[in-house]
Amino acid sequence: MKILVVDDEVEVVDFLCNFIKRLGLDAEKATSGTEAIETFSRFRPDWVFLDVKMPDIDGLEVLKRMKEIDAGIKSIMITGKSDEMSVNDALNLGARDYLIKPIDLDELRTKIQTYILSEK
Amino acid sequence: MRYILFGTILGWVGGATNFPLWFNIPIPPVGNILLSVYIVIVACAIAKYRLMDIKIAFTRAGIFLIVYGFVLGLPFIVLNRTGSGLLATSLAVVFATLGPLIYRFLQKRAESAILTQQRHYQRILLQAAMGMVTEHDIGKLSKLIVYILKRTINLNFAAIFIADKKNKLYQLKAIRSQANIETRNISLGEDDALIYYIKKNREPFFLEEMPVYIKDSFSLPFKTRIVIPEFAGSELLSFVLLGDKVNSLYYTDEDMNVFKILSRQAALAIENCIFFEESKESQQRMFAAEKLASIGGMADGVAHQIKNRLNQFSLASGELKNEIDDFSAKHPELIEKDPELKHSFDYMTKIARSLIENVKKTDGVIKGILDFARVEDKDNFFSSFSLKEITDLACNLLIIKHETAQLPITVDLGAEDKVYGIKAQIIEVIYNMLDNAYEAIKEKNVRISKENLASFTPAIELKLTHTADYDVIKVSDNGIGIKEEEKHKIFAPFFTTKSSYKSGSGIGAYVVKRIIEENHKGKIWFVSSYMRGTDFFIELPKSI
Repeated sequence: MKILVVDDEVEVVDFLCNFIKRLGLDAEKATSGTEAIETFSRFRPDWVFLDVKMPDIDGLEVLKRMKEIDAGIKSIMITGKSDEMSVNDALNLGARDYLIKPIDLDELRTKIQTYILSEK
Repeated sequence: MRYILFGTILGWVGGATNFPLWFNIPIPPVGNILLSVYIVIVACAIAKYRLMDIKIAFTRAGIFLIVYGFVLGLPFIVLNRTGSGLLATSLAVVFATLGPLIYRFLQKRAESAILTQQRHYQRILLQAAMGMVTEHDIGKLSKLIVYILKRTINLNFAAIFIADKKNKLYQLKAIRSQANIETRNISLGEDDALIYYIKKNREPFFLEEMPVYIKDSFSLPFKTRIVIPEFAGSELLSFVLLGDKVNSLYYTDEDMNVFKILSRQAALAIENCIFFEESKESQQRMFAAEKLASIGGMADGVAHQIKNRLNQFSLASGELKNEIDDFSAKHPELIEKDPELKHSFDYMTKIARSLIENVKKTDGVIKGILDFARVEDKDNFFSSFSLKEITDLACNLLIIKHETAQLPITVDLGAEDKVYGIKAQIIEVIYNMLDNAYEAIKEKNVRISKENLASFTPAIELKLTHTADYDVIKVSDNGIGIKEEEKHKIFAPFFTTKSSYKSGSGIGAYVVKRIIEENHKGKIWFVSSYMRGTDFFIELPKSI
């Protein structure tokens, strides 16, 4: 299982990748929208963990473009806003779930176990 | 002046009846009685034109006496000495012609010498009046007015009272006197007899002119001679009290005219000050409101930044804990063999957990502020919402505002905590009432005696009950309570016992009342006992 983690803050991506590797999964990182789309074509992940608010390209836009490359890509959006609108936007674009910052790793572990590990 | 002149002529005529005797003409000096008449007439004139300057009167009379004594006396002496009637008569004619001219000349000289001083100060007063209008601080203006008056007119004292509309009285704002008078907090009520008389009279007046019952109705620690009011339209802005002139001169007609002009100038200057202060205050309020609004606008941006930092904390501490757990799981024998290592790892796990906990708490604080700053459209209409949510939010905000670890509050909402109303406004109402309760307790902590302090357990309670048609919210505290004489002011606009800048984002009890009564058609009232506590009640109809 390959997961691509996208967030404009390097340390956040590092922590998340390390965490994912603990669970025995393969993780790759990207720190911008453009880099994410590049890495996506090369790495071909099964899941993408996407930060919604990024400086160059909006996370939702990135997801759209990834869907153009691989329509079946599954994603969890990471958002700072808890208001309904942003969440609905993400879900409408086909994201499976969303995480609200600050991320609770225990909560992420549960989601990964539910969605990803159970599919094995 | 005419009376004095007339009286003096009479006196002379009377006195002149003595002359025939000198020349052995047997006419009895009956005219001497006219002298007393002269005195009486002069006395009446002074009494009537009380404002007369005795110095002037005596000077004029004096000059008159000297000149005419000379004019009339000299011919007689010549007649006596030389026996020549012709010489005496021609001398008399010459002097009679010159007499008035000499008289007028001397009189003018004498008067201008005396009056120069007075005209000088009248000029200064009027000039100073122009200068007053540029002073914008009412305290400084008051001091300036009394200083000018006392110095230039040379008085025992000058004092000014300024209207305090909020407290319905006239406050002694500045006084300049020869003696040291204790003047803190001297004031006269709006409804006092003296104020009523001033308002009715409208012109400067002498204290003696007032009816006795008014004179007796007040007492001030200085002997007032004149009252000069300052009106702006029909409103009495202020009034000046003047004492006697130091060299016991009387106030003249001219003085009173100058005072009338001065009072109008002073009224202008004072009105200017008041307007200036009010516009400064409303500007400050506007700035404060704008600042608050811009902070609200920034809230989202700032919250986003802070959430990103918190995210780092959260991931870092989460990974710290995971790293320790994974290592311990992979090398259990190392941990078992080395108790110090185990202890160290346990401690690091504890640290990680504490970090994670505090991230969550900080997140809660931010959510509270965001919810308060963000006004979502739906919250401005009527809806049914949870009072618990509102109360939690208000408590979180108060914890931040008062920088305390927790609030001494119990919340009893019963089984059904839904209320009906305009959510955004009820948030403001509950926040305001809890804030007031907390301030009341703080105030009591300050006032209470040491023995009682130990046994004082601060307590705020918010309780929700329902009747058939209403939801009733009760907020009670055991703080300082409200004094009897202030109870009627609680809901008045602008009334507050806290300094307004400290309260900052709060709304006053006046706005709370309007929200409840006008917007929600509800009721708000309170029961309070000074130094014991206060209970506020809000009744909200279940439907409108």
